[in-house]
Amino acid sequence: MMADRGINLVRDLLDAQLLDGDERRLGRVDDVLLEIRDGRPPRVAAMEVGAATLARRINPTLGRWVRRAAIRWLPVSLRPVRLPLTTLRAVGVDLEIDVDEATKRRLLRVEAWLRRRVVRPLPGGKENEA
Amino acid sequence: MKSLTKIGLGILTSVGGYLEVGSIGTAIQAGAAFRFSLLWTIALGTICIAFLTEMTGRLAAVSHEPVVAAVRKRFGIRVHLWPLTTQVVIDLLVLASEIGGASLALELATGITIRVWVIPVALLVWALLWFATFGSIEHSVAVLGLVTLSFTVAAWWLRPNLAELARGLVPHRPAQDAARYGYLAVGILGATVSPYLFSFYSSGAVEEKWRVKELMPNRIVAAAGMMFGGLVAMSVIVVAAMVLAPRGINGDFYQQAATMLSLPFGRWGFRVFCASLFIGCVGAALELALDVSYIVGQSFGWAWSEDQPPAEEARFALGYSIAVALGTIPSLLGIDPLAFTMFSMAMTVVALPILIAPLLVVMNDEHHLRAYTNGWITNAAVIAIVALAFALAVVAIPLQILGG
Repeated sequence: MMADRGINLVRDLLDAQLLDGDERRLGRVDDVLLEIRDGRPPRVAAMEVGAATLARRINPTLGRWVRRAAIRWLPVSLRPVRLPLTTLRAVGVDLEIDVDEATKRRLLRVEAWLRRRVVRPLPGGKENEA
Repeated sequence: MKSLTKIGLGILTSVGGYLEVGSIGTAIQAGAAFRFSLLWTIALGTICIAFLTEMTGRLAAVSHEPVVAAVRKRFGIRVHLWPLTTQVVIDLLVLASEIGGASLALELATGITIRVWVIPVALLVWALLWFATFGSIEHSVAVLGLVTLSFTVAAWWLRPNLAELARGLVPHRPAQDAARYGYLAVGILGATVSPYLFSFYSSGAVEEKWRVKELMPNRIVAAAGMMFGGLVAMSVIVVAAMVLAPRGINGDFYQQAATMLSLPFGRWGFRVFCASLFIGCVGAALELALDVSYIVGQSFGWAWSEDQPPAEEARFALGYSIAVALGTIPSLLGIDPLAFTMFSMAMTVVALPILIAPLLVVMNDEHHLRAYTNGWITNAAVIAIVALAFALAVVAIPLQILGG
């Protein structure tokens, strides 16, 4: 479906919601990376997802500050996740991607950490209780 | 029958818009000081908020995406950061007012000081969000919210002069105290046209998986839900005008205002007043705490749904938990809830243009809305509402100083 029409990088990709095949929300496209190649035209290398990437887009200083603070104080990595365009399955208002479990885990690192360390110890915090 | 249950979302949204501490407080003061002559502000606010909720409900039904998500995608994070931050701040201010309002209702009912009630009220709000689903919250608040119709029954019972009522629906210059009149008009509009109503409503429509076939129910729910709230708010003005104004009670103190239902209902009146205030404030607090989680989660693409258990959506659940905790601070510090509410309403008005203006672009985007973009009537309505919002934002601060 994507072969016969172009994808608009800003309109269709940037800031779009990422979903897996089960419609689970995995984050938003926080930046789009182009690869510059010698003697050949540039091409789209990847979509980047991550708090530090988003902060850098708002302001480069803020981006550096978030990255340093995350490395020094946060118990969970905020390293951006890069998704090659080959993961794209459907482009609409949202983007459906097909990624392996390891990538999904990296996209949901903060979510998983908060679930394990904060929510589960609270009453009603187990998956099967509600 | 199925579309009848959808009215629940309209009434829930409406409870948060009209029956919370800010709306009831400003309506009482307006009725006590100016009798029926500020009724037009409720009518105007109702028309504005009905248009805005219909639009964002339509966006949700067509694109399956709530309004805040569409704003981030359409404008990018650098622009979206401003409305997002503004709305989180406003939501927290109003949430704090509601927690104060519900605690005040319990103080009125029991005579035990408000500070004792703040933590229990916050825990109740948190526990309902943590353990219950969207549907159960929606339907219980919608049903309990019907208690507030007792204001309408009271207004009916008091037999107001219909010609005077009709005159109140047309704006005109007050005979005296223009600054206070303007201050209350802005306060009522700020309490009615609350931006969290339409971000919440569109999130609710996505939670309930509305589709294109829901466009007609959406129109009815938006109009009927807001008319319900508008009717109750107008009834509050009428009762205050007929009970408090002749006795020279100005409505600045809830303790005196709480007796306004005693004339029609006898000793049940006071209890009904406290129950209405409590239900309205708790309903609004639920809506506001959820709205904080909704807009933050939608902006960053997290999983967000009140129907999932907290462990499935840790960031969403912790979002509203932190919001409720922050919302207790002003009341615990002993800040007067009514003064804090009036401040929150003024801040809402100042923030309105920045929160409504993006709708004009989003609602005309065929990428999101396909064939269901705004027509000329709805576009004219948004432009008029944005213009009104700008005018209100300019006069809000001076009037707060002169009239409040």
